[in-house]
Amino acid sequence: MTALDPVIHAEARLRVIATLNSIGENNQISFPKLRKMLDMTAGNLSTHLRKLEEAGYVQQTKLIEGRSPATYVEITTRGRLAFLDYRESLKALLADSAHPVKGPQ
Amino acid sequence: MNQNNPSAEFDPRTAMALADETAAKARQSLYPHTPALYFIWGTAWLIGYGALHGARYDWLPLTETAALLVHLSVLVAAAVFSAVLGIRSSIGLRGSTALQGAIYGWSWALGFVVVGLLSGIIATAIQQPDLRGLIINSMAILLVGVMYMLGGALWHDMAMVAMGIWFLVVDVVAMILGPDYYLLVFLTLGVLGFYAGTIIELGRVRRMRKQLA
Repeated sequence: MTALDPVIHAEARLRVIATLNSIGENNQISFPKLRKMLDMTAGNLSTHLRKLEEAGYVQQTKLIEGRSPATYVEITTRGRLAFLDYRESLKALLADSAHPVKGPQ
Repeated sequence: MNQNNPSAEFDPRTAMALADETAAKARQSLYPHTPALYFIWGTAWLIGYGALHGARYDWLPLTETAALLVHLSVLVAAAVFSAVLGIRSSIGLRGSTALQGAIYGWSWALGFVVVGLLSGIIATAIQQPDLRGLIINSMAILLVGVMYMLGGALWHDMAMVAMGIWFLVVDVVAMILGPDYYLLVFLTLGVLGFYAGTIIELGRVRRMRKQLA
């Protein structure tokens, strides 16, 4: 059985990384805009971003905009590949369940 | 079937659906204004070319100068509105796609500054009002058609490419029919193009909502 990446296979983190993947590599989104798109609380989003960042899937950049600090988030190459792998694993699992193979499991 | 899966709530099918849904939602919220933009421009052309045609062929109680003023005002208003929508949707985004969008926006603005300057020269050089109008408007719409085609190429948006081709075709039709009919061509086929674009984009949004529901 294909193992699903536990960093991605959780509802909230899947939504975060799928959104960042749509925004694309080399594109950064501000924390507040991402929070609004996902409709998550700041604390919740921060926690999940930290886990994704620890895995090397996203990168957070802090910078000064005008006078206030701003955090921007982007998907890394590694994150994009992990997300693609995860989707492939899902597809494989769905294909297996559509055509169940009789045999020792 | 879920016995193999540690979290029965979050099986592969649910996860796949959630991934697709999230991706579609993200795309939608990155480019939320396309139907509104086409609608605004269709309406601006309807009013603007309507005023010019109505004044020229006496179905509106407007002098030609007043009509030109109406025409320019609605176009400038539509341009300002488009810029505001574009800038607003770019807030909170940085990087290569945001840069593409900004350069694209500036291309419209700078392109039309040059069209405006050239129009001034053409207006003083050509005395026949209908021929002058045909040349100035064809030049402006040439830029519109090309910009839509380029926008379609940037965002892989075939509907936008089709709009670009449509406006170039409409431009050629106006040139072929000549000074007596160009206003009518832009008023009908031009407005039709924008409203068709609006309907196509609304259809896309609706299909996606249905998919998400």
